[in-house]
Amino acid sequence: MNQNETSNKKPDQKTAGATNGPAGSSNETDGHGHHHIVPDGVALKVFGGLICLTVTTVVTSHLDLGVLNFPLAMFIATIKALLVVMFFMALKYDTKENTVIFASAFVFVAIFFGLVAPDIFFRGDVYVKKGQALIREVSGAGSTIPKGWISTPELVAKGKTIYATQCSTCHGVEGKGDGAAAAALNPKPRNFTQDAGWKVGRKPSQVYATLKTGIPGSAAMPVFGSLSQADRWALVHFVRSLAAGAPEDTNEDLAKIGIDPANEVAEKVAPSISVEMAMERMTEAPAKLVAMSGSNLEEGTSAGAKLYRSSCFSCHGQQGSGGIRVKNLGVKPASWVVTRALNETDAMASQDKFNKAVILGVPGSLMPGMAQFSATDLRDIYQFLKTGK
Amino acid sequence: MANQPVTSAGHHHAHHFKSADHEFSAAKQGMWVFLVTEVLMIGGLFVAYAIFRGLYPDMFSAAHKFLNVKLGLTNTIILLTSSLTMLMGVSSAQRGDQKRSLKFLAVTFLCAIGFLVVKYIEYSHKFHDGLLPGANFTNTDPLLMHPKTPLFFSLYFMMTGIHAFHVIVGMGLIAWIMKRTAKGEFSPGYYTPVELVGFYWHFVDLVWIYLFPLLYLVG
Ligand code: HEC
Ligand code: HEC
Repeated sequence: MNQNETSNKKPDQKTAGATNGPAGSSNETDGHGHHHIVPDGVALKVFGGLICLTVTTVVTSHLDLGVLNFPLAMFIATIKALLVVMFFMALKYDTKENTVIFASAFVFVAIFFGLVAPDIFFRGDVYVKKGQALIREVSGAGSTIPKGWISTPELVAKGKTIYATQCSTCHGVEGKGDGAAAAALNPKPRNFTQDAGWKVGRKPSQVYATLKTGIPGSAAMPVFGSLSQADRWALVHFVRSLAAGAPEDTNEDLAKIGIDPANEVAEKVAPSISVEMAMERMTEAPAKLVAMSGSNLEEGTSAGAKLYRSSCFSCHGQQGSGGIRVKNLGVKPASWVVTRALNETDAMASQDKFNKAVILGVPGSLMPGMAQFSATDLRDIYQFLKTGK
Repeated sequence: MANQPVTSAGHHHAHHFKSADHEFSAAKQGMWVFLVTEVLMIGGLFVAYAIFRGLYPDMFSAAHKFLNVKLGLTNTIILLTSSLTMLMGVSSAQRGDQKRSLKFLAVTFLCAIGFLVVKYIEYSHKFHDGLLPGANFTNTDPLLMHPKTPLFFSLYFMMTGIHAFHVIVGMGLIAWIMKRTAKGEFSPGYYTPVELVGFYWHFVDLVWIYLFPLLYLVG
């Protein structure tokens, strides 16, 4: 059945193997077997090729070819893989059937990748659309409330919850100015239960102004420009509820913060960063945060500058100069990311890239996605970062 | 079996095959199918790698610098060499030179040991430096500030770990065919296990051919 079986001694066997053509040395008789004996010479050549390619890929990986490094490395690896499969595994001399079988594995891996990758990498549009829907929602009903300057029990209750997460670290649970972080602060946080010491004032419009723009000349109280309008009013009424006898607003007071009581039109909604995020930064290092909070900022007063100050300043520093340590919450032990100067990042290359980075956030970095900006807002912030105006 | 004469007649193909050749090609096809399942298994990790690399390119390029290219290269060369010696072992067996086959198989086995020794050195460095997956990650190098850095090391340990496991299984298989070769069970008429273990070993090499650049070189 097998012609080789008679000569079991090596010499002629070997030469037979080495000299026969590619498919030649198969010792099949009935067309079923595909015994390909790889000649030593071929094996050595292929091996030499593999080593050369390995050296090439190591050397080229040290060159800076930009985006080409990766495809090149994969190209070389694939040639190596083909050499191994074709010659070492002799698929070249094997049946078509086996080739198809083996190749099918890669087809399925490609399908797997092909289904997952678009979902991960090209969902951006979906988020942008969602973001726009969100903008509409936010600037519509959700967080603006009619006549927010008038206290209601609901607003006070809502204010209480926000106060617990946002303010009690400094102002204390009962509003006595004795929160955990108060010790490190100078001046001390306001005691809401007494009448003395108010700089801006206790009227609703004044507390509102404090939250929105900070206390002029004082850096200790962070600016909460990022809260939604409704949240801000809720806090105002809660803070005022802590002590009786707080003065009420006159129409002129309300006019000062841009509200016409006769007309229900409320001021434009300010963008907001997520509560948890602001919170985490606060509890992490209140003193530092206070030092950075925007109220002592001399920068421009353009729309872009204001938005930047309320939403981005805390992580990106003075006009995007970076160097701020942002804590990462997800890993143990704690680690920080120091922000780079924004103008050095890729995202600043164009308005589009910038919009995408802000709306979607930067996955894996601590840059949060903030969907609440309108196209004009984004243009203003971008403009401010680029030109300082 | 062991004391049967060493010819193709020494191997009786199963009754449902037409001939020993028929049986051989069926066995080989089975091996290819098995390798397909292997590709699919390791393929999942490659897809994970591709996705995360796409999401966090900066992190990958920072983290990969913490792998030792020299050791990776050493292991690449060791594995390529072992593939060559495996091939020589198989072709010697195919030609009926069992002594030569045994020698090459032994060299292949030694290469595998060498590979694992280098792997051990690498792993112990990583453990020592706290370059570990997930919450065990304790390295504080400023280059590794990116919060997702532990993910790179999860992939690194998963991919190289599964590969190293295959190397260990391969060593068992090589030892097994060496024993059978020594007993004289193979001949030019019957060497199916030798060739199929060879396939398996080349596949182990194949996976490493991708792992090396992906993890050590281009991160
Ligand atoms: C980082 C600590 C800190 C946090 C958090 C904080 N505050 Fe203050 N707050 C201060 C300090 C300090 C002052 C006093 C500043 C001064 O006297 O110059 C102050 C003052 C105030 C004042 C008095 C303004 C005035 O007219 O004198 C109000 C109102 C106020 N905070 C409300 C809030 C509310 C509401 C929150 C939560 C949204 C909050 N604060 C969160 C530290 C903080
Ligand atoms: C919680 C902190 C935080 C806030 C708030 C924040 N960022 Fe970021 N941002 C980051 C971090 C962290 C990075 C990535 C680190 C780096 O390279 O600077 C980043 C990166 C960026 C980038 C660069 C993206 C890239 O491709 O590298 C842009 C642009 C950016 N932020 C814009 C903004 C703008 C505009 C705002 C305000 C609307 C803002 N960020 C608010 C933390 C923050």
